[in-house]
Amino acid sequence: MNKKGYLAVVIGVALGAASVACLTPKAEGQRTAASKAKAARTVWGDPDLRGVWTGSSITPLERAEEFAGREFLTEAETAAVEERAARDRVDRPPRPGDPGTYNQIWFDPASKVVPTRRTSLIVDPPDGRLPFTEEGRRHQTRSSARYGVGPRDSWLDLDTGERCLTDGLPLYWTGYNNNYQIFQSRDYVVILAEMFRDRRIIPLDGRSHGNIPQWLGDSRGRWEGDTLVVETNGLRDDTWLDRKGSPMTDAATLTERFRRVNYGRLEIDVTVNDPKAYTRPWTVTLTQLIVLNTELLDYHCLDNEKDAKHLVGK
Amino acid sequence: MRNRTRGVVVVVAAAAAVAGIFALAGNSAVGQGPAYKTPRTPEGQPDLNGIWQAFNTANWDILDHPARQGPVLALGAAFSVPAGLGVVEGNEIPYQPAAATKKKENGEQWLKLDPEIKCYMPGVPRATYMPYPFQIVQTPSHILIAYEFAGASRTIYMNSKTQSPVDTWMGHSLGRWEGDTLVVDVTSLNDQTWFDRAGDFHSEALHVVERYTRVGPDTLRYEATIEDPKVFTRPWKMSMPLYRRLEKNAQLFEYKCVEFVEELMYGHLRKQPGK
Repeated sequence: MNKKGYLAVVIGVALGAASVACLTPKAEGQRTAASKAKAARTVWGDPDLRGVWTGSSITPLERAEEFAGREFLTEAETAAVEERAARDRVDRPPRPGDPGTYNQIWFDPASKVVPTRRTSLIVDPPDGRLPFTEEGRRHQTRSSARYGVGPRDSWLDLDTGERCLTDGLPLYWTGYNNNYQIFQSRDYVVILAEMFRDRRIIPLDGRSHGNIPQWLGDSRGRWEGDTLVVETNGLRDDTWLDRKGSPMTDAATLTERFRRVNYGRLEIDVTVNDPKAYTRPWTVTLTQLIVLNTELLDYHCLDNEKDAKHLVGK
Repeated sequence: MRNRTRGVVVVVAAAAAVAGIFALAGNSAVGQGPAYKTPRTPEGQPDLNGIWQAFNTANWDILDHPARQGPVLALGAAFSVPAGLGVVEGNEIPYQPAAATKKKENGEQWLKLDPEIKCYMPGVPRATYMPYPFQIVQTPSHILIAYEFAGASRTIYMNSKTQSPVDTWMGHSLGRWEGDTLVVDVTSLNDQTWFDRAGDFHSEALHVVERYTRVGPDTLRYEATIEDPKVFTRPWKMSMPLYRRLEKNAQLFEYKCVEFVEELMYGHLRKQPGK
């Protein structure tokens, strides 16, 4: 079975449990209108971040070799990249011995690069690449080589996403179930993702950090003008931040800055400082778009798990 | 005489009206003396925000139950079953005959069949009285109930008529305010969840109407009317108080229990040394 086939099975763990495809936004037109409207405020005066959002794009976390030294794509390159992505989204018969993958209709990758046409989500360091420490690189190489191939003597050799646990932080990019919802009251912001129904409850009341390690860490938020600043630490030591196995360790702290620049658009800058895995802090800028006329669906991975017997012990 | 009769009627009617008001007020202020005045959120709704928890043994058995030996010998007194008062009105669940048999079988095969043991979603109403806290975060249009157990979440859509495209573990919840009470109509539940560890169950025809009423600064009254014509002969009702977690900096933690059931569910798949 080739790597892609395994990857497909793995994703299937989660997909099998998905209720139905997402309720898709009605029209790009509505989104365009939304992007012209002003961002709202809550009755108590904070910026109102509430809504269903998606951060889906085909822009990679790290800059591809072919765009080395280039921060932005040209219009022509953008068209070529988007066309290539569309071409790859075609159903093909699996190779012999390969269980195959889902029909493309089950996936929900984006079709467009980020609106800024950046070549990578990473904006710092300037080369758009993850600044691995030696240990971080070793971890990534090892995880990446094994992902989708094995060996998997036990479930612990699977990625946490394959185990129906979580895709970890920051949870803004994935292959499907990309929508998430922000709930907001005066004292809390809650980010509820459709994927794994992952949930971050962020107190805004100025309390100090706890010291209980958790998969999604321990987040505290505060308003700095119109920016919600969320500081997170207390992560567990065994998470990946992407499907390439780039590590996130218990030494990591994250600083997220949320700005709703207009009704339809939320900008999030995430700075990851994880000295065990990376030589310096690095920052991604994530453009999030509002998704109108939709609600999140229930999504439970473990409750309809069918693939463990094909993966574990193999 | 004629006039006097009319006067009596008026007095009686007025008394009845007053009694009615008191009855309503009494209903929302069980054991709290004068009716509690529910504070409002900044957006004007009755304020149910907070971290709440049931302190009862309903997750063991929603009916009255005596103490008994637990299922794991090695855990002795640490994980045996405490006695407890039931939460069901009349202490009776009106099962149809075949369903009563199934409940008994479920109870006998609890360790094998209870979805809680596999870290599956707890469903409604069981999520409410599992021995873990849950948090309510209110907005005017959406009320989030975040449960600690298995990281389950429910969104209550306020004043909405939306329907779920499919049945799900946590169902589809439509809410409205009746006075200061949050009334939630829950449908589209699947048939996989249970009410308790005693094997009490339902079908996918389950319809739950929940009522959340704040009866004090740190207390909610929770009622759930259960209707399932495939399993029960009539609707029945459960109720219980829910208490606010008052610890300084109380917070919901992750209880992503998947990792606690992997050995149980996949242990047989592990690669054995030498094989």
